[in-house]
Amino acid sequence: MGNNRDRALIIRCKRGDRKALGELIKNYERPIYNAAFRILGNPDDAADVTQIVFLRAFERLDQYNPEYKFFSWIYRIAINESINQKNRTRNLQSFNDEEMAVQNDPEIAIDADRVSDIIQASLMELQEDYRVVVVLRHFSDLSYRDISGILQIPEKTVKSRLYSARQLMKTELNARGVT
Amino acid sequence: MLEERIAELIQADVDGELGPEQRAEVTRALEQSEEARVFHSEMLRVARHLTDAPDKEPPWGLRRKIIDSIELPSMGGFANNWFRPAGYGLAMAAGVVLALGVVSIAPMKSNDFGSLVGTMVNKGQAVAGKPEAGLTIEQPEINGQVWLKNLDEAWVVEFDLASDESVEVVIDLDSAGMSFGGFAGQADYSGDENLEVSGGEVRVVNQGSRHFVLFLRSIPGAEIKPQKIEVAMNRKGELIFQGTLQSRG
Repeated sequence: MGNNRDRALIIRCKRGDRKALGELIKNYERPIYNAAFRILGNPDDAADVTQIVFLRAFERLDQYNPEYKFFSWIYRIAINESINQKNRTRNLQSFNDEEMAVQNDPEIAIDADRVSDIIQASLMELQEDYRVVVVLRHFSDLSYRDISGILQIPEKTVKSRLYSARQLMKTELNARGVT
Repeated sequence: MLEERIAELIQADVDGELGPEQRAEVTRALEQSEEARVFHSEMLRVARHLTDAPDKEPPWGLRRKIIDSIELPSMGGFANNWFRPAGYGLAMAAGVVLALGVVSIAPMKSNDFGSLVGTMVNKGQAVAGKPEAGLTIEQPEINGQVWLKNLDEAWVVEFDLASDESVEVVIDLDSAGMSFGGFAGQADYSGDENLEVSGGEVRVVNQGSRHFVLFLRSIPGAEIKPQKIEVAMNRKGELIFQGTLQSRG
């Protein structure tokens, strides 16, 4: 995601250009929605969070420092809002239970969709700070440095959380028949 | 027990975060240690599963809902507080207006789709049914989405488009074995002014942010399911987008 392009779009938005607004939202709607979905495990909550993220971002755009990457800034809002949403709605357990109930049936063939569901269910088993780094690394495809900037933690912490998270994911996936 | 430094390097290698020297160190470790090889292969496998998991598609209309919920200053205007998001209340209201908008317009003239529109009202949804096919339009002149959807007893083509200037949307229903059954749009978007039906071709003029639906009826003797619907968009007589809604199966 190009920061120069984002900056140009923001300037146009500030002049009232709704097409630029549409373009900015188009660029980030999908990644923000997916990050939120992987953290929350629920499509409705992810859609709510995506909308809130953009509202918050535009509400606070005066606070955005263009010297920094726009995507880091909006991702930070997305992570915070996802965590807030998770705290607000405690409906994740039912999702996990359902997924776990399905995946433990050895008679059911594991196809790509099921693997995706199992991955999501395994992700939901991770503690939140581990899940967030996994999402940013693997689903948002961000570097250690970017993750460190977004979460405002040292790179060393990013690495150690990823290390622990992957070890746990390995155990979870093995237990659910994904090898 | 794998040395902590090597484990860290392997992790970073899996993430593509190593420089040439460190990568050479990992290669050496992998050559010399069975334990390192097993660990490397396990981490690669976990990383691949995660990275290969497909993206989820954001729900239909979310982008439009977000765009509509954010107010910008008027063109050329400026202020300290540039943006005034409409907030949750207005965002919700936008969704409701959208829903009401679809049902607020009667279907066109001789086509009796009244009962279908009523069904949508009862469900409280502007957009019902599972998308059968979709198109994403990302042109400088126009952007948005088009979906072919199956409502219990009918097919609809739903449009969610945004264009600064007037763009003509042409829908060819002939090849689908369908004919035009009705039009529903937002309250301020009348089919009388923006719609033209000629033979198997429907032409709709889009300007601004528009959400509208075409109801389809099957031609007697033709397939009940529309197989292929051609959608073209013209700006000042010039083709700017062309796509096909191809139903499954």
